[in-house]
Amino acid sequence: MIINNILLGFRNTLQPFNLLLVIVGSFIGIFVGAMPGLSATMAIALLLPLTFGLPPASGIGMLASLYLGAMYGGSIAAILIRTPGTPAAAATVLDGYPMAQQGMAGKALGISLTASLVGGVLSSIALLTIAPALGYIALEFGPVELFAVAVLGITIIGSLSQGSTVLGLLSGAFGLLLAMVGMDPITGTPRFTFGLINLFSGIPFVVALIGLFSIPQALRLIEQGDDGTQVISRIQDRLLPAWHEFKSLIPTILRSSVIGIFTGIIPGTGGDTACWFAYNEAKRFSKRKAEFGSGVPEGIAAPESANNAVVGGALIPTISLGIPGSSATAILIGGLMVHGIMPGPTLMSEYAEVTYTLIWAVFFSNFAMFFIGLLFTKGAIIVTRVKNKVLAPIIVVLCVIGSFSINNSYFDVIMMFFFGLLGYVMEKVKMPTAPMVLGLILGKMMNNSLYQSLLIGHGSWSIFLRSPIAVVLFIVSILSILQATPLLQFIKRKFK
Amino acid sequence: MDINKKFLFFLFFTSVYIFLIQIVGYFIMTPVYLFITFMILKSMKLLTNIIVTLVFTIFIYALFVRFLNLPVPMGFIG
Repeated sequence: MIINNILLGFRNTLQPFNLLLVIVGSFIGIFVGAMPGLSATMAIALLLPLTFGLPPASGIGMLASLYLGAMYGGSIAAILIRTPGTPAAAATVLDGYPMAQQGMAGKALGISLTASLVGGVLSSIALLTIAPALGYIALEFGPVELFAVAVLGITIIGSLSQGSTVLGLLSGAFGLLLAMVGMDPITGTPRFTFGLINLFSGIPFVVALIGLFSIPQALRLIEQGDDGTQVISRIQDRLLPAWHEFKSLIPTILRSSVIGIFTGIIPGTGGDTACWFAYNEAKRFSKRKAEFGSGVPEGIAAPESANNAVVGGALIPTISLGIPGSSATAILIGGLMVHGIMPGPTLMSEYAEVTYTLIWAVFFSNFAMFFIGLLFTKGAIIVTRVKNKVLAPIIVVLCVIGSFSINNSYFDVIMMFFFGLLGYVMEKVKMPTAPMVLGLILGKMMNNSLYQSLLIGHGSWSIFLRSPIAVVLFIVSILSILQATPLLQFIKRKFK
Repeated sequence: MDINKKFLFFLFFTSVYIFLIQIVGYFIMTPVYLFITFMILKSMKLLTNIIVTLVFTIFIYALFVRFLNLPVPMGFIG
């Protein structure tokens, strides 16, 4: 059955219309990634409304290719103007910019492009093999196990997200609270609605995401201002690296891709974590440690293959369990929800056609990204010059139309702006937003599965201890919280 | 105008824009918002400002209303 679905998805993706969307997605992704003011997550949130009119598989496939394209696009700005185009390209600056300064901007971009291609293809293969297997196991999951998975998702993202664990868990709890707004799906009791009829159906997920990921960015762009002293390196040499150059990079690329895939799978960690992880590992394994930072090819290949490998990795838990592996995949889930497809293990069975088409779209978008990268990298230099004070108002205008068009509701526009301001304040107090986003998704899943589990257990909470899978997941959740408390340091000291 | 004043202006004017959309409509408020913001923030020259504002608004109209048929808050002109 799985093989059939894989072939079905393959055939769907090869339809000219779907292939065209993959190419369009990669194209937009590279350009958006190259703009220092726009992150991949934000671009996906802003372009989500464009996909409402399309079939779910085609539209979400386009957004996934955009995600992948932006991962490469980020390195264009990193290498040429020393500003990462996306947070995931932050580590590329270290060796990419010095190399460009030495007149080898083309070579640096070529290494980035090839490393991105290999990382992306490897992670697509991982996605194609691991996701169906995991999805197959997840089919056995009942409400009890689903509840445990949701608990695990929240605790992992809370404790692994950047910055303080306490703030991360608080953010996750806040997300859970927000997920409770609206009518209870089982009893129909309105909760936290303050008598507002618009809140009875709950907080619209995509609206919240558009606000959270775009408005704070627009405000930050104005806050930063434009310094206007950027010097753009020119591309004078050829883009594609020679075979012997590429051959010496293969071990670095393979290692970094594996790092990227695993960082992607873990909820709460994305490209911004993976690029540093891969860079540091490349440095540790290298014989020329001292030269890192002065323009070594490994220093570009490592972060760039890792951040593209994150895309496939992050999609694994997203489509097999319904737990997003990164903020960008959380928005993809939001997109599926708009099409009436609920996240969870049913993605791999009931909606197999959509899911497998999406997986293949990710696979093909690697090649689309590669060829568009070869042709248009020089063109993408223009967009790195777009000023912050031009970009910020345009972001606002797009947020408004996007949030309105989802439910044809002005209330949603207000809600989007509210979440935008909330996101800005959270950023100021260094509270990560990713756990809150996950709480919003998983809250509803937790709510339903808790009710159903208690129904099965005739109201007894011991039902959660009778499923071995659930018990293991709960233990891992407890450990993931404990590793952030002083207890772990205490144990470490004991055993030293 | 220093950067803090610019920020406060942007925050305030964006709130006004979002508030007025419901009454005045998206396709009247958007060019007004873009034009005034670009002008106050000194994003570009006057002529470029007018061209960018108009082209962008028409582009949004063509894409969302004509091509995608998505709902847009029209205000009193709807």
